[in-house]
Amino acid sequence: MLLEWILGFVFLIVKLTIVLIILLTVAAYLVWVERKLLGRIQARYGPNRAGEFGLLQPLADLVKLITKEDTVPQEANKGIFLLAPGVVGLMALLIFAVVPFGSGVTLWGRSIPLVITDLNVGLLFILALSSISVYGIALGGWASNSKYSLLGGIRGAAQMISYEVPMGLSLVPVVMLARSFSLVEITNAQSARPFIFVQPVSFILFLIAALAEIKRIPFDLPEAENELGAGYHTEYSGMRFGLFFLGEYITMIILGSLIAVFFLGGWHGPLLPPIIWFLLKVGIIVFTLIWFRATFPRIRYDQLMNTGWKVLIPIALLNIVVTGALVLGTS
Amino acid sequence: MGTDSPEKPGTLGNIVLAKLDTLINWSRQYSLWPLFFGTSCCFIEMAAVFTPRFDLARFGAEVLRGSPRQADVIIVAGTVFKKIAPVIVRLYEQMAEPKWVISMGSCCNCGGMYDVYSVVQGLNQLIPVDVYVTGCPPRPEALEHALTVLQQKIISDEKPARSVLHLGGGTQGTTNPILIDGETKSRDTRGPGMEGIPIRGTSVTSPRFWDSRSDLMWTPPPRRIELHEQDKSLAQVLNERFGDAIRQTAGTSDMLTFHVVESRFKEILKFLKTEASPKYLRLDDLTAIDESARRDQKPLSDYDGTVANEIGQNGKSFRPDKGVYPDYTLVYHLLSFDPPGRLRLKVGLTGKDPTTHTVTDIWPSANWYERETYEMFGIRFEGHPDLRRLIMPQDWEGYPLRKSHPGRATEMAPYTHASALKHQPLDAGAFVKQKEGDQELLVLNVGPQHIGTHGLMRFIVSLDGERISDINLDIGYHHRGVEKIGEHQSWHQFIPYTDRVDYMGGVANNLSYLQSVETLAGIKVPERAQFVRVMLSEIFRINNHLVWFGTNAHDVGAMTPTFYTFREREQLMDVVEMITGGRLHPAWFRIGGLAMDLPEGWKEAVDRFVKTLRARIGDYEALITKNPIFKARTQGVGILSLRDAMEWGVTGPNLRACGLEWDVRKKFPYSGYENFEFDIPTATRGDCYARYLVRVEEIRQSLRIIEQAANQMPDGRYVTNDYRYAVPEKKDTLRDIESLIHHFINVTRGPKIPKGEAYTATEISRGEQGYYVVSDGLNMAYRMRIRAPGFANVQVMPLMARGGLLSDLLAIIGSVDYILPDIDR
Repeated sequence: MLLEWILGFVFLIVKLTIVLIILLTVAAYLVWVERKLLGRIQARYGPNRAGEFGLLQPLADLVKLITKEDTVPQEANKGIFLLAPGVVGLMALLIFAVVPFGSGVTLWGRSIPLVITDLNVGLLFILALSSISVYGIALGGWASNSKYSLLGGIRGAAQMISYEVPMGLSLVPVVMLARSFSLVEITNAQSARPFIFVQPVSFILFLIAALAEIKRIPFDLPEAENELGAGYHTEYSGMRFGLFFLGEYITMIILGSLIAVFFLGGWHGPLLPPIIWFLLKVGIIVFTLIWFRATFPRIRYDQLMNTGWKVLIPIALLNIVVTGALVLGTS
Repeated sequence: MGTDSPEKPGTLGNIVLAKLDTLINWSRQYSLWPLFFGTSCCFIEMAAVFTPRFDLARFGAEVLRGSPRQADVIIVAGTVFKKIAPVIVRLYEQMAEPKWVISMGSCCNCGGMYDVYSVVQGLNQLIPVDVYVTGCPPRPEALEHALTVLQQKIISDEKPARSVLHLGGGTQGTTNPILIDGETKSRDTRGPGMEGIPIRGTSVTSPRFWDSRSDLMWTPPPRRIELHEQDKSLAQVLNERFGDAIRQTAGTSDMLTFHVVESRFKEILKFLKTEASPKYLRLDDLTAIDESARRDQKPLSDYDGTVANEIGQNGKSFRPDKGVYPDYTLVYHLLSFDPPGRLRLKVGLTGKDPTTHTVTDIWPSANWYERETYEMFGIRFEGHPDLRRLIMPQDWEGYPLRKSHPGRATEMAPYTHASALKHQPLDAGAFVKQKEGDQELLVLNVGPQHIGTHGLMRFIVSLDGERISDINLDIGYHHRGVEKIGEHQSWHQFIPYTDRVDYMGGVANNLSYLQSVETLAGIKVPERAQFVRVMLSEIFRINNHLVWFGTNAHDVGAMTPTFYTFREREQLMDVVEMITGGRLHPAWFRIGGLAMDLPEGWKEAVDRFVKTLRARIGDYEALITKNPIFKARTQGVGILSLRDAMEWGVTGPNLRACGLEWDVRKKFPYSGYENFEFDIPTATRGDCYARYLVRVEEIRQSLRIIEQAANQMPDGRYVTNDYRYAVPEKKDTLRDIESLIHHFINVTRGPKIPKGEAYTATEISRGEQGYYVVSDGLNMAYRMRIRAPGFANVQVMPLMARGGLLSDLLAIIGSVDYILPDIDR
């Protein structure tokens, strides 16, 4: 019994380590992918000097950032200033704990689910954590004691809180269809057909809201460089800035994973092994996000707020009502 | 290097440290993130480095940072102005260790061609420099080379592991010392190593030859024009109405000119604006001339009583034609829209620091013009709402455009790191007029160094939330003293300086200047030269609009169009380079024509470019014109009414976007523009989107003009045969001695331009650029005044931005399309 428990624990630790390493590496390489892709879209090459095809570029950037001086502005609120980047990075990593990336494998007679933990309130856990990461942005911006950071921080807080609502609401129909908050259950509910075909409106709502949640173009207002220099992270240097940076790319992967899980049927798919399907779907979403970045201008603060409260939320509510009626009617 | 390592070489610790050194250096060289910082022309080439043809991203260095905290290398691209120097020092100090500095361009290296009162003679007097890039501006390849040199330096010279681990010792970042003026840095204008050799003066540089050899040269009298009937009748009306107070100048080279007594000039200006026929609705330009260095100045006692009475003491006007000058002359250039006409009014002022009346209540646009005149000449304007320094640093001593003020930086005390610490820019609070009891606002400095400001300019924004409740502008960070330079460079030598006035306008600037000189001296430009001038000016209009297209889109957050437009711009630069040999600043037009004939194969190159761009405009528009986000960001934003635009002297596409079909190329045709078929695009709403549409259409119209010019290119001379003024054709100099002599004289001493004055304007990409040249019959101008479109266009920006959001300000900046050297000159 005890042995069983210890063994389970060891498996968990090993799984955690593997997932963490892979996630961080993928996030680092996502930076490379984005730089290469942007380059290609913009008719140029992108990094190609550091290693073959610039493949060592993430390493160069990482070492550079770590060995760079870590400055704290004199007037900053030091404790919070130092803590904020950690919050962003940590929350992003924690979300991944409930994301299932495969159907499970059997190793030495043990069935190992390919998810760190299958919480039965997984979806709520995700929403909760993404709320907490608002603190990283808002406090980071506030604690810097710089006007640009402050504006970025306020924009970030307002934007993320506003878009949490439509994001949550857009997922309600998914929960209604899957009849569960567990991400594994939601994935399994889509074994026949992905929810994107059943709930296209939810999909679009979620995509928009989540884009705003992870602050990417056209919703990158908190760090809108043309207006705010560098926004909430203006005063951060070195690896602390790197954490914000890395956090952004981890959240990109998470957004890709969540869309894959909620709407694209997770690891389900014909012919190819489940994990490949999952990665493929995440990849497509991430590619789309980069493509967005290369294409769209940025929307304005008031337009952002109007879109959130006056367009997305009403549609999301309507969608819930319609879905509810249909679910009741068919059952 | 100077590491005082306590351990012996070869110990395990040192081996580990050495490996670590290698790893860190290797990483750093491929991760040099530059600060988004540029001061002037060089910045365009620096931007080009990031775009498809050059692609700095290959070296991992494309991650431009808006915050100095995150940047590794500051590329100071362009001129280091005394007003911006404290900001550069501060930015450098704000960067986290290790940091490196690249000094880009001759101005930044040593002051370059700007040995003028407002420019620091080298970045290395302020902050340490690792790599210097020569050129004016350096080509993008040169900057790439500089980056690789810096990479080499990091790899081979630095041992950062000890510094990183806080072990004591180790080297990283810039270690070069700041140069000390006069000790490690040469102050000799001829360059280092010349200190022992005495300086030979000229007629304008110390030690002076007082007699200019231009006096030995004969020229025909200046051009004289026959006035239109309409001008004549206006002169009559004015004479009847104001009698003694106004006197028409007998001969004029360019437009109707009056001398007006100081006591009544305001009344006359008001009449001209509101009652006269036609109404002179726009104050085109307002400036002054310091008359103290006139060579033919005679004391009044030289005349007998009647003449002395006639030419006026006691309130009557002065007679420069008879050698009686005031201390200062105020010059007002007015413009009427319907029918198009110009008029000049001159007011003599006496006294050391004269005071006169403001005309801000007649033209609101006079505000900045009067402030500029005040700080440049020390003339006070009574009743001006806010008479303080506009362009120079607030603690500047003296009035730069007075003849007594030193012109060169090398004549003044050196500007050092200590000076930069002392002369900080004025606090934002000093600009904001907050009434008591007002809600407390967030005062935000946008600029002078900011990604969104397109150069060195400061917007002091008072924010209520994100809404702009008030906005103040602080300009002058890019003041290169070009008007002062015009007073000591020969007519010929000044041409390259004009290229740099609107550094996106290239040779189109040459044309504005040369046209005034040619008007004054009555020089006929051959038809072929005129066609080439038109063709190249339009090519540079497209050059400007391509860069504008990219930056305007970038200002509202779309990053990709910049890369596409710069790709086509490179192709355009190839054409320019093929024809002129230069890129940004060809300085290729000459007095009376061009520097040389068109090269073989120019037609194919031009045709190819026209064809490519015509197809590509569709691509750009597909990305932006109908993009709903772009529309939402620009439609209804930054609205300027036509009335305001005319009142404030707005010109160019910005005026046309308000609905007025006004283009100097059509209204006052010059250089043969009347031979070309093209439309003047207009829009009606006067918002950012309207300005966008007008400019995009202008690209198409320019292509039409280029096509026509290329197809109908006449044969003949490329430069006038009036060799008194022009640099003769090379083949002539090899054939006859007269041409050779003129070549020698006009290149070295510069031609003599007859005594007089002329103002002409051309339609450059941003609006009307006019040169007011005043000659005292020497080989250089007595006064060189540039009426820049940006100055007026920017002054009106608060009207557009007030009440909008902070993001709107960026959209407005992008759509107004200003350029700093054109505002600050």
